[in-house]
Amino acid sequence: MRVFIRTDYTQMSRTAASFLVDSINKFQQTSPSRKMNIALSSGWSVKVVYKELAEAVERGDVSLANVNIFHVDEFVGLPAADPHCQRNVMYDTLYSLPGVDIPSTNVHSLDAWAPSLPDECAAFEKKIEAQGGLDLALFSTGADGHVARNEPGSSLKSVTRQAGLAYDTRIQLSERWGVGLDEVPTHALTVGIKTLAEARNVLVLFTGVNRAKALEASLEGSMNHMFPVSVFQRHTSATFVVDEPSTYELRVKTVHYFKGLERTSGEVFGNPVHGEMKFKA
Amino acid sequence: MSSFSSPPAPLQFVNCLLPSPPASTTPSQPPSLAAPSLAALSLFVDSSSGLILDSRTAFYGNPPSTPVDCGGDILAPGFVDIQLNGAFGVDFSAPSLSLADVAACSARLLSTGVTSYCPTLVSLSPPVYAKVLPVFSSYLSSPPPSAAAAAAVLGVHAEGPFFNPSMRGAHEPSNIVPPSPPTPATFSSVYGAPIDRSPIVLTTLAPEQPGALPFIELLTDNRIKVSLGHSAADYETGVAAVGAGATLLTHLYNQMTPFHHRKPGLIALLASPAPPNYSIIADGVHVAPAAVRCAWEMSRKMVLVTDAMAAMGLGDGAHKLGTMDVTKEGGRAVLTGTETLAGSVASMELCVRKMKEFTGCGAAEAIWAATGQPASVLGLEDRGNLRAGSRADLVLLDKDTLEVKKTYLGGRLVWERDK
Repeated sequence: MRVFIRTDYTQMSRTAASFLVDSINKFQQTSPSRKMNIALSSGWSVKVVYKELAEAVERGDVSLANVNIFHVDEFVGLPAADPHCQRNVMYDTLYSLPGVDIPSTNVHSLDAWAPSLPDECAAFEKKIEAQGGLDLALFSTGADGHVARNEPGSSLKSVTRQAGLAYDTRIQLSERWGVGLDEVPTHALTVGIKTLAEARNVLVLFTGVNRAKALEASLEGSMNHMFPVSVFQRHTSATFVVDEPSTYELRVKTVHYFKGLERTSGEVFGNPVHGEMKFKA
Repeated sequence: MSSFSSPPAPLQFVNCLLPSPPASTTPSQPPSLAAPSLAALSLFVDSSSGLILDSRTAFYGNPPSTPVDCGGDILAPGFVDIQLNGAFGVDFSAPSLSLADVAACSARLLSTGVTSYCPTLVSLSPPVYAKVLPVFSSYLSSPPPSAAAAAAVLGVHAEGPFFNPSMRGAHEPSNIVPPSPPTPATFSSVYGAPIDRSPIVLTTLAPEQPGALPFIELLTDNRIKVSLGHSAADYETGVAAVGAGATLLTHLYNQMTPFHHRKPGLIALLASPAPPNYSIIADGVHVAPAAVRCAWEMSRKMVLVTDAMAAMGLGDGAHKLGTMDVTKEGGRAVLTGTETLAGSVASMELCVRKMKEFTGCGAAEAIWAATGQPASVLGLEDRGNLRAGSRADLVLLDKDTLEVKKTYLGGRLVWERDK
């Protein structure tokens, strides 16, 4: 587990974006025979990461032409044109930005309008497997440490399925979207915790003081299904990129440790962010 | 010759630069906020309906889109030319005009990047109008099969005959008449058909002529757009004409009283509180480059027109315009034996490039002047822009030279430059 602590949300987003750019470029060098498979979540935490990514594409620092993107969740029950649909948010925050060169056939979203949702979920898992498995998963987490739409109490071995949304999550969405609670979806399709844990590399973003408890639980606590993101303690190539406020519940010792580690590994490995990424041809 | 390829719908044009429209066309907004620009975005097109699709819906559509690589070039709306007297040997004002002539010219225009246009008639006599206008009525009401792969005829631009005789330019003097009395009877006695059944969609007239102001109201009430031109009107008459419904000035500067500091004339309308659109022939022959730039600085409501005549697209030599003889030499056409310009031989493609060069504007602004601005003059929302639901009439322009490389109608490739 590597933890990179940045002063604020913007710096954090830049680090995450440069991690993404470096990973894609490194993958292209090592495995040109297949596309890189990346799982991405949508949401306001990752908006600036995607904006930075789009700018990097426009500058020519990286190309998305050989990347498969898998969306990690989708709300069930919203009209397909609703701007809150996760795939529409992804479109607005990444695919529609000038210069982003990803063909629409390389984007794999969970189809919450399919006639059979269990079949759609099973097919999604198979699609990931058929493409060679996830090389990278990048997502943010909430105050409760949820992973995609796997709310606390989700099995750490869960696969892509339809999951219920927590009451608190629905309250938050209703506030954020400015609609009544009964207009907020009750379920979502989500990739499983196991699905993301099987990604060869994982990057999780923690933004702001209300993620502090989740960061404390997942860094200093033990693996606990009530904080699903803690499962990545078992991952061989997990990276957390966090801002200072999200470290407020950590011990001073923990913060010093990871800051020191970044300085050390920076000198040894050159680029302090991705050091030893794991890929498979 | 163009290849008529039909890949499966829908299409995603990728690796292209799309011009955005201006945020606002009010002259009071600073150019940096209002200016259109180029952005590297995709365009989704349904080649079976021939329309541009909403990108966000099409991105996740089923079936998935077929990518069409644009090689980094600019994908723009097809050009809209609202003043074209003829081209490729076809003269719209000729009494012998046939449906086949209109069809042939419309097809060949695609090579200049024009996908919609207004065939324009010079000042003719009533018998000639009565012969020529029905040809266009017929073309519009029952287009020949070839029209599907040709530039669209938007309706006729009647440039005349209600001019100021002293500003007639190359028009035949005996055809010039005043719009008096300003009644439907005058309209039909000149143009040969009642005002509500005429293929005319745009008229150029001189507002100082007797009866002109009520005549402008009459035309506007009958959904015919009015442009001011071939006129020596003063500024106040111009303001009154705009108030009566005129929305355009025809080929600014040409056959228009020059700007004088005590008598600013129609040109000053560009900076007036309710400025009209204005067309301009930016071929570098009709208007000096610095004058084109002056107009641009006064108002961004510039509409590029070719005012091209039959010799456009043909070689140098002698040609006919209406009943007049003209001589084409390089980029100029004059009344044979004089120095009076007799219409231009410029293509819209050339005008776009020259306008950009003369004004120093960006490619997207020059493109807008040949697409969205003329479409808005005619009140058309389904072309001249890249909005979802608009016609997928497109041109692929070289990103550096703005040369037309490919022309699409309804998303289908209908013309391609030989390599």
